[in-house]
Amino acid sequence: MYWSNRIAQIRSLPKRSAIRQAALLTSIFLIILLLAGATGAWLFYKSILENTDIELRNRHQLLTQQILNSPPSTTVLPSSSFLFASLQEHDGRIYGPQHPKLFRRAGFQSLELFHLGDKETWRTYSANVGESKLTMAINMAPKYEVLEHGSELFLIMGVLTTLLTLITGLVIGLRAQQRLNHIHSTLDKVAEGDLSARIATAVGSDDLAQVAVRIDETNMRLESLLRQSRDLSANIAHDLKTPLARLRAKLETALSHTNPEQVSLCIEDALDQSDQMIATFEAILRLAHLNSGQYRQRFNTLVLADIVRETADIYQAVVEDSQHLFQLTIDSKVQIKGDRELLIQLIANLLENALRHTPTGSCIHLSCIDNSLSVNDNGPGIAAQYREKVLEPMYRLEHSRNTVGNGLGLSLVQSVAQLHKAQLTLKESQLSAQNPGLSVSLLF
Amino acid sequence: MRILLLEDDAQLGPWIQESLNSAGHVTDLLTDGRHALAAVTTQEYDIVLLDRMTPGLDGLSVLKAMRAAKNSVPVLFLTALGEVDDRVAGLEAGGDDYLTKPFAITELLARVNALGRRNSPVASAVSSTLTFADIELDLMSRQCRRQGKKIELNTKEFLLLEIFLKHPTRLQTKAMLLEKVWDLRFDPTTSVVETHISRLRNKIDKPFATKLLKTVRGAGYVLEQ
Repeated sequence: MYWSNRIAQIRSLPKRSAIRQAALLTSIFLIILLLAGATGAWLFYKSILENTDIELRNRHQLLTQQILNSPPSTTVLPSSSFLFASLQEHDGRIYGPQHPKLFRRAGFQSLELFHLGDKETWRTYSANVGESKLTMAINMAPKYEVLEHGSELFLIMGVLTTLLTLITGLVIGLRAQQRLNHIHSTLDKVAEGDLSARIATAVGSDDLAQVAVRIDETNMRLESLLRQSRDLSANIAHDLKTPLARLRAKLETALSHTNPEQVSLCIEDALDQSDQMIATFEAILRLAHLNSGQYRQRFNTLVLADIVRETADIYQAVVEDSQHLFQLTIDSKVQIKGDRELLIQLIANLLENALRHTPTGSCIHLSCIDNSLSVNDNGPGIAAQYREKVLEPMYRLEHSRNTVGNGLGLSLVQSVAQLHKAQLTLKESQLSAQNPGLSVSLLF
Repeated sequence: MRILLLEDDAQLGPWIQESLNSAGHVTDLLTDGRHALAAVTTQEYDIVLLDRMTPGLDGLSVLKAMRAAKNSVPVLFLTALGEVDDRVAGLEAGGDDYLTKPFAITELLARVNALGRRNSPVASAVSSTLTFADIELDLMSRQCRRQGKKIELNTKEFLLLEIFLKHPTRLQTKAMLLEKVWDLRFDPTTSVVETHISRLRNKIDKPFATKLLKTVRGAGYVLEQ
C-alpha cells in the first residue's frame, strides 16, 4: 500500500505544475548559459589569436631591422620555450631551429611543432628579409591554457548555478504547490458540503494569497446564504404552523355552529387566514425570484425622484390616516436602471414597516436626495446588534412577533436593493433628539 | 356569457366551472390544450380562461395559435403562484389579463365580467360625461358633481371614481383597483385601497343621504344604489 502510494506520487510528479515549471525554467537557463559560454570562449580565442599575430608581426619587424643592419651570423636569434626565430639564407642554410614546415609558406600559420622537447601548438609568421626568409614563432599553449582554465571555471559555475536554480525553483514551486494543495483540499471539503472549511493559512499579499482570501469570502457568503435558507425553511414551517392551526380551528368552529350567520362569519375568518398564508408564500416565491436575478433583464431607465413621488402619492393618505406624520423631501435628478414596480414595493415596504413599528403620532420622513433614498422615523428603532439580523428572511424581533407581517419585508428590500446594486444601510435616524428611531437608506 | 375553461386540475376545474355557471355563465371545461384550440376555432366564445401548464398543448401555445389565427376573444390566464415571468409572457403573447392561483372566486368573476364588457361594443362611451344616479363626472373638464354640487377630487380619486362610473354595479376587487389606478401588481400589506376609497367616500358619499360606493366584504367595492 505504502509503495503503491509512493509510486503514484512519483508518477504524478511530472504532472505537478511546480516541478514542470522548475524543470522548464532550468533547461531554458541551461541552454542560454551554454550558448553564452560557447560564444564567450570563441570570442576569447579569436582575440588571443589576433593579439598574438600583432605581436608576431612587431617582433618580426624588429628582428628584420636588426638582420638588415648586421650580418645574420652575428644576429642573436631568440629561442625559448615561449618564442623562437629561424632564418633561412638564399643558399639553404638555416640559422635557429630547423623545422621543414617553417618556411613553406609566407604569412601566418598555426603549426604543431616539437620544440625543446614538447609537441605544442605554435603560431608562426614568415616573411622575406632581403633574399633570406625569416620566421617568428610564439608558443600558443600557455595562452590556450588560460582559455581552458576559464572554460572549466565557467562550466563549474554553470553547473552550480543550474543546480541552485533548479533547487530554488523547486522549493518555490513546491511551496506554491503545497498552498495549492491546501486550497484543493479545502475546496474538496466544500464540495462535500462542509461550507465552514476555510483556507485561512495564506500569508502575504501575492496572487495566490488573494485567491485564497477570495475563496474564503465566497465560502463565507455561501455558508451564510445556506444557513439563511435553512433557517428560512425552519421559519416557514414554524410561521405557517400557527396560521394553519388557526385556520383549522376556525373551520372546526364553523362546523360546530348551527346558526348560518355565524358559520359564514367563521368561514370568512378562515378565508382571511388562508389569504394571509398565500401572501406569505407569494412573498417567499417573489424573494426567490428576485434572488435568481431574472428581473434584471427587464430593467428600464427610470428617474428615481419620480418613483419616490409616485409611492408618496400612494402612501401619504395611508400614513396620515393611521395618525402618523408624513414628510417628503425630494431633491434629485438621478436616473437609474431598474424596475419601477420593484422599487415602489421597496419604498412601500419601508413605509409599511415604519407604520407598523412606530406608535401613533410618530413622524415618517421619506426623502430622495441625489442618488440616496431614505426612510426615517422617530419610533423605537432597532438595536445595533439586530440591524443585520432583521434583513434575513423571516427573522422577526421578539417584540414584533405579534404584529402583522411575515418577516419578509426587509429581506425583500435587501434583495431589491442588491438587484439594483444599491447599498442598504440601517442606522439611527437623526429625526428627533429624544427618539432616535430607525433610518433605512439606499445609495444607488 | 359563453366561457371556455382550459384547466387540467381534477378538483379546481369542475369547481371553477360550477362557480362560473352559478354566476349565470355557460362554461365548457376542457383538460387538453389541443382540444381547447379545436374548440375555440370551431365555436364562438365570449371569454377563454387558460391554465398555463396543461397536457397536449400548454396554455401559452394555445393563445399564440389563437392570436396567429386572428382570433381576438379575450383571454384570461390562470398562472401558478408567483411566476412573474409567466405573467409577462402571457401578456406579451396577447393575453388580456391574468390571475395567480390560488385566487378568490369573486376575483375571477369580477375579472371575467370586466373582460366580457371590454368585448361588447357598449363599453365605448360616446359621451364625455359619465353619470350614475345623481353623480356626474365630466371627463373633459375633469369636474365632479353630485346633486349639482361641485366636488373637488385629486387625480387618483378622480381615476377611482371614473372606473366605478364606467362599470356601475360591477364589483371592483382591490387587486383590480391597484392595477388600474396605481399600476401595481403586488399586494401592499397595508390598507392602500381602503384609505383611498375612504377618502373618496368622504367626498362623494358622506355629505349625502344615499351612499353609493359600497363594500363587498372580502371581495372589493361596487357602485350601486
